[in-house]
Amino acid sequence: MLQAFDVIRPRSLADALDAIADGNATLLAGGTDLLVRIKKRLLKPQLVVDLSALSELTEIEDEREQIVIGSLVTHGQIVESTLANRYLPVLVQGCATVGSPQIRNTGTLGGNIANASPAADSLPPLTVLDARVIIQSLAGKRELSLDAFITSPGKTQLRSGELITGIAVQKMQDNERCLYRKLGQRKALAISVASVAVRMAFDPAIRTSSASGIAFGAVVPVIRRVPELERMLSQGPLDLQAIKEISERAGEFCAPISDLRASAEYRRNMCSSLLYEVLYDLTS
Amino acid sequence: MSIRLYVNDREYIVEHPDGSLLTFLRQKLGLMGTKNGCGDGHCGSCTVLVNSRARRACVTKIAHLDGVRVETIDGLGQGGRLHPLQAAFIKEGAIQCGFCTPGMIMAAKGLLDANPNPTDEEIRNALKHNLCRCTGYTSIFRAIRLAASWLRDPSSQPRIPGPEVETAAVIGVSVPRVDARAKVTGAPIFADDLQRENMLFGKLVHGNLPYARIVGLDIDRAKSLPGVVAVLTAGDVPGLNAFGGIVPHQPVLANEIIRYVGDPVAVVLAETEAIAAQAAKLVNVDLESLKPIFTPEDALREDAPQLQPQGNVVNHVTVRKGDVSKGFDQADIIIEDTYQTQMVEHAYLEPESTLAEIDGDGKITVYTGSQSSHAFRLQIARALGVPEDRVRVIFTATGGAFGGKEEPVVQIHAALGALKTGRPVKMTLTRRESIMKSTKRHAQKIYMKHGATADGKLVAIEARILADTGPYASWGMPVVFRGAVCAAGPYVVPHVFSDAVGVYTNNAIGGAFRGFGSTQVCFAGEVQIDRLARKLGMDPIEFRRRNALAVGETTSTGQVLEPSIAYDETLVAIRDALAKAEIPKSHGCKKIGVGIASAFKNVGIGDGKPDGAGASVELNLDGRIVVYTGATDMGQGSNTTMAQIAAGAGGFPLSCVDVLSSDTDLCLDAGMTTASRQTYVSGNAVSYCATALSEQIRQALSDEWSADIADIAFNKDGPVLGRRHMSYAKLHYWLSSKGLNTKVSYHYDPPVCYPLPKCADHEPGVDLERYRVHFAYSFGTQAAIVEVDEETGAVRVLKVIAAHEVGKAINPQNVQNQIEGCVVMGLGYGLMEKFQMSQGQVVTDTLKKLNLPYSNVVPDIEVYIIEDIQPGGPFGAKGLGELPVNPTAPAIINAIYDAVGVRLTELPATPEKVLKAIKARDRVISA
Repeated sequence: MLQAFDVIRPRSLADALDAIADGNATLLAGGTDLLVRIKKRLLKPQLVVDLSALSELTEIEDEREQIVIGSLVTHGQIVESTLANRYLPVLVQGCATVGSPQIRNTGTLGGNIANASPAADSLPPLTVLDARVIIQSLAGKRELSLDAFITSPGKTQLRSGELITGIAVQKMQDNERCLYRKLGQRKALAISVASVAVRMAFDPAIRTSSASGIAFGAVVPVIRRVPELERMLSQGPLDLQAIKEISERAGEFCAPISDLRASAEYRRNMCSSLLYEVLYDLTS
Repeated sequence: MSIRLYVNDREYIVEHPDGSLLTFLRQKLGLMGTKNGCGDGHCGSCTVLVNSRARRACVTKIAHLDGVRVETIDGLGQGGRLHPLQAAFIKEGAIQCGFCTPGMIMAAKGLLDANPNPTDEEIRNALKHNLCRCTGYTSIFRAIRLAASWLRDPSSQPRIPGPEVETAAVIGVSVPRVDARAKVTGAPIFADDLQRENMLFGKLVHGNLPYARIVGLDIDRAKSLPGVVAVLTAGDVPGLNAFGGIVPHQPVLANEIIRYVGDPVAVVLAETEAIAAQAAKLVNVDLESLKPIFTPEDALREDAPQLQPQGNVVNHVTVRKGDVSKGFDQADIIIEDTYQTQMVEHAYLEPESTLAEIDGDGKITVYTGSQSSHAFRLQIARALGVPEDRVRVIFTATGGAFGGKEEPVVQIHAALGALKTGRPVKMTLTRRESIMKSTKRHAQKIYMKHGATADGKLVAIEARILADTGPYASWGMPVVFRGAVCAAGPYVVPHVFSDAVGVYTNNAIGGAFRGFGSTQVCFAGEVQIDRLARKLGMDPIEFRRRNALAVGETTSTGQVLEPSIAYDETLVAIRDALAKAEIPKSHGCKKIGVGIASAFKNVGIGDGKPDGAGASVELNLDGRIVVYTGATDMGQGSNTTMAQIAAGAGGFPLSCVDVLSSDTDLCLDAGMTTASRQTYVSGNAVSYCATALSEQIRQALSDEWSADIADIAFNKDGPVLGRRHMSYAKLHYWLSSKGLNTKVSYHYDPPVCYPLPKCADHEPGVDLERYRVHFAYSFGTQAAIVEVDEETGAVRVLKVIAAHEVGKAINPQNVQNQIEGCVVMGLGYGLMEKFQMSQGQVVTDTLKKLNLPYSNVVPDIEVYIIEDIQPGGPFGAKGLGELPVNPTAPAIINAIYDAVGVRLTELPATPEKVLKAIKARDRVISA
C-alpha cells in the first residue's frame, strides 16, 4: 500500500504560495509523472499541494510581443489554442505528439518544465523559442530563461517555497519558420524516440537564414540549443549540400544511450536524419 | 476500505481491494474468459472494457475501480446469442489457438461501441496492445470490418454456422472451426482455467547461473514457511530424473550440474500461488560457477569444457551428391557468403500450464496443452517410475505452440507433486519463466556457395551449417538434419555438398520451431539465388523456374520426386500476381523494392523413423459420431480438419461429428503433432475409420432394409433410405444388440521412407525407392514489396503475395489463415524479432523486448492456394502448417536489395543494420 500523505488543494495562488512557503510540500499539477513516482516509491511526500483549483494558471494570454502560458495549461489546451496555433505553431507540434490522449489532456506545461525530463515533447520547442520561466513565491516574482532554469536531468533552479506560474514566449515573426519532429512516431520504427525542433528566419529568395535555433530532445541529458549548428545555418545559402553538411554533424551534439533496440551510434545517425528532414522541409 | 463495481452488469462490493483486475476476475469471481498471457500489459489477452474503454486487466488495479462498469467476454454472447463480433470472428476464421481471442474481441468492442464505422487505421490502432501469434491479424481486421457492417445493418448478418454443416459435402468447404464457439466466448478450455478443490500451486526454483555445480541446496527455510506443503528436489524423483523429446538427458530436477538458466533444482508446492512464489525465493541454492560456453565456435574448440558426456557435438549430418569441385569448375559464376540467423522465441500467447491430480487408486491424470499427450505420458511415467497405464494425459486447448510445446516443462513436476502430496497440483509459468525455460529456434551460422552457368542453370551448391542447440538435445538433431537436407532449396542441383553440425552451449535450448531447420537455410539459400539471378541479369522468377524441382527430378538426397509437386505453379502464380499488382513508386528517401523467395519442406518425419498415426471413429450412445484422434489442435485447426475428413469420408453430416483429441486413455497415439504431418497421417487414419464405420453401418442396414448399400445415406438425424430412417441413437442400440461394431480403430502408416543415404548418387542395382527420405514435400513462393527509408534504415513491408501448393485444401479458409499467420511470423523473423542472451542470461525477458509484430506492421497479404492432388493424401491433401513461414524473410531481404542495393546477411534486418549497410554502400559509391 502507498504510504499515507496529506493533500491540500488551495483555491487561489496566494493560498498556494502560503501553503508551500515552508518548503515541505510536493507540488501536484497534472499528476502524470508525480503519481507514477509516488507509486514506484521513488518519492515519499508528506504533504502534497494539489494545484488543480488554481484557475488563474490555466490561461493562455496575448501580451503584445509575447504569449504567456499559465503553468497549468495542458498539452491538449495548447493544441486547441488559437493563439498558440497562430504564434507558436512549433509548440503546438510538440504538444500534439504527446503519447496518449489522457496524458495530453492532464499533463501540464509547468509540470513538464519542473520535471526537466529530457524526453518531454514540449521542451525542444520551448527551448528554440527562448521561453522564459515565470516563478513566484511569497517573496515575489522572478523570471529565468528555460536554459538557465533547468540545470541537469530532473534538476531545476526552483527553490523551496517557489511555484512556476507561467511561461513567457516571444511571438514568432512572419518571416520565421519552425518545425518539431519526432522519430519513432513512424510505425515501422519501433525504437525509442529522438526529436528535434528548429526555428529559423528564412529568406527564400536568397535561401539564407538569419536568426535560428536548434534543439534535440530525448538524446541529450538536458535539452539546450546547439549554437554550433545554429551558426552553420547562418553561414551561407542553405542548399542541399549545406543542409547535408550541417545535419551530418548533428551526432556530435547528442549523447544518446545504447539499448536493446538500437545503439547510440544509430540514434546519433537518426538525429542527423531528423535534422536533415526538418531543414529540407523548412527550406523548400 | 471497500469499493463497489459492476462486472457484466452484476454489482460487487470488494472489501480491501488489492491486486489487479485480472486476478479479481479470474480468482475471486471465477470468470475465466479473460486470459492471462503475460501479466505485464504486453499481450492484451486480458483486455476488458472499463467504463466502455479497453483496458488491460493485468495492469489495472482493482482499488482504482470504484463505481466503474467492467465488461468481460464472459458477459458477451450470453443466452446462446453471439455478439456480432463473436459471430464475425467465427465467420472469418479469425481464431486459431483462441487465447488472444477474448482480448481481441473486447478491444474491438471498445472500438465499435464508440466508432461504428472505423477506418483500417483505426482498427489497427484499437488493437495496438493486443498480440496475436497465430493469425497474422489480417483475418481479425476482416472480422472487425464485417462485424461493424452487421452492427450497422443487423439484417445483413447471416446465420452462423451456415447450412453446409448439415451435409457431408464439406471437403474443400470453409466451414467454421469446431472449437470456434468455445473460443469466442472465452470458455474455460485452457489448463490454467481449470480449478480443483484443495488444489496446490507449484513453483519451480532455478539456479540462475548458465553453468554451475550444485554445492548445496537448503530447502528448510522454504519448507517452514506457513502454507508450504512440500519442497521437492532431485532425490524425490522416483524414476528416471531426466526427460527430453529424443534423448532423455535434461534433468527433471538438477542435482549435480545446471547447464542453463532454465534448469530447475526444486519445486515448491504451496496452498497459494503467492506463498509458492515466496517460498521459492527462500530456497538457497549454493552454486560453484563453471566455465560456460556461449558460442558454437567456442564449443568446438579443443580446450572447451564438455557439456555432455559424448562431447559438444550433438550430431553431424552430411548430404553428398555428385562432386562439388567438378560442379564449381563448370560454373560461370559463383556466389559465396556467410549468413547468420538469430534465436527466436515462439511466444505462444498461452504460457505453459498444467493441472495434475491423483485418484484413490493412485492413477495420475494430467491436464495440459501440448503437441502430443502420448509423448508427455511416456516422459511423465518414466520420471515417476510407474507404468504408462498409471498416467493419463488429457489434452487441453493449447494457446499456440509452433514447436515450442513438444517438451514438458511443468507437467512432470506437477505430476510428481500430485504423487507426493496426494493433492491436485496446478502449475503455470509466468511469462518470464516461459521465455527463460522454453526451447527456441536455433541460431545458425550458414556458409553457402552457389555455382551456376551463364544460361542460368545451377550446377553446384555447398553449404556448411553450424547450429547452437543449447545444453540439451531436445529436437536439435532432426532440426540440424533438416538444415542439411533442405540446404539446396527447391532446385535441381547436380552437385551438392552439405554439412550441418549442431553443438551444445550454455545458451537457451534450441528445439522445434515451425519450419524446423528448413527456415534458416531457406533464408541463406534464397538470398544466394537472388544474387545469382541478378548477377546473370535474369528475372529471379525465371531463374527459379529453370531450376525448379518437379515430378521425376532428383533432390539433393537422391530422392526421385513423385506427385504431387506444383512448385512451378507457385512461381507462375507469383509472376502473374506481380504483373497485376500496384507497386508504388519510390519517392524521396523512401525506396520501393520487390523480392522473391521460394521454399520447400518435407511433410512427415521420414528418414526411416516411425511416422504412423492411430485414430478411431465411433457412433456413440448419444448418437454422435465421435472422432478420437491423437493429433493435437494448437490453433492450426486439426480438430476441424479431422471432423471434415470424417464427415466427407463417412458421408456423415458435419454437424453430427464431434472430435476428441489426444486423451491417452481414449485416443490412439498419433505421434507428435509436428513436421506438418497430421493432416496427412491422422487424416488418413480418420478417413479409413470413417469410411469403414459408414460401410459397416450401411451394410447392416442394407440387409435389414433389403436395399442396395449405395442407396443408404446419412442425414443429420440418422441413416435414411427413401422414406425409411433411423435415429443415430436408435442405430447405436440396434447395432449393439445385433453384436455389431459401433467403433472402428485404425493405425495408418504412410509410404515407407528410408534413412538419409550416405551418398545421393544412385547406385546401380539399388531400388530407387531406397532414396525416398520423405513421403511428400510442400512448396511455395512469396513476393514481398517493401519500402525502405534510406535516412533511417526502417523497412516497411507493404505487401506480401504468397502462393502455396497444398495438395487439396480441406478447409480453404483455414489454409489461407495459416499462410497469413506464417507470413507475419516470417516478417518478424526477417525484420524484428530476436531472443537475446548475454553471458547465458536472458536479456529479452518480456514479450515487449522480443520485439514481436503487432498489428501496426502487418502488410497487405494476398494468398494463392494451389491445389494439386497428393496421391495417398486424404482427399489429396498434404501438410502446410510450417512451410509458408520460410520464404517471407528472404523475400523481404531480397526486396530490400531491390530497393536500395544493399544485401543483409544477418537477421533480423533492423533499421540500424539496414542503415549501416546503406552508409557502407554510399562510401563505396563515393570512393
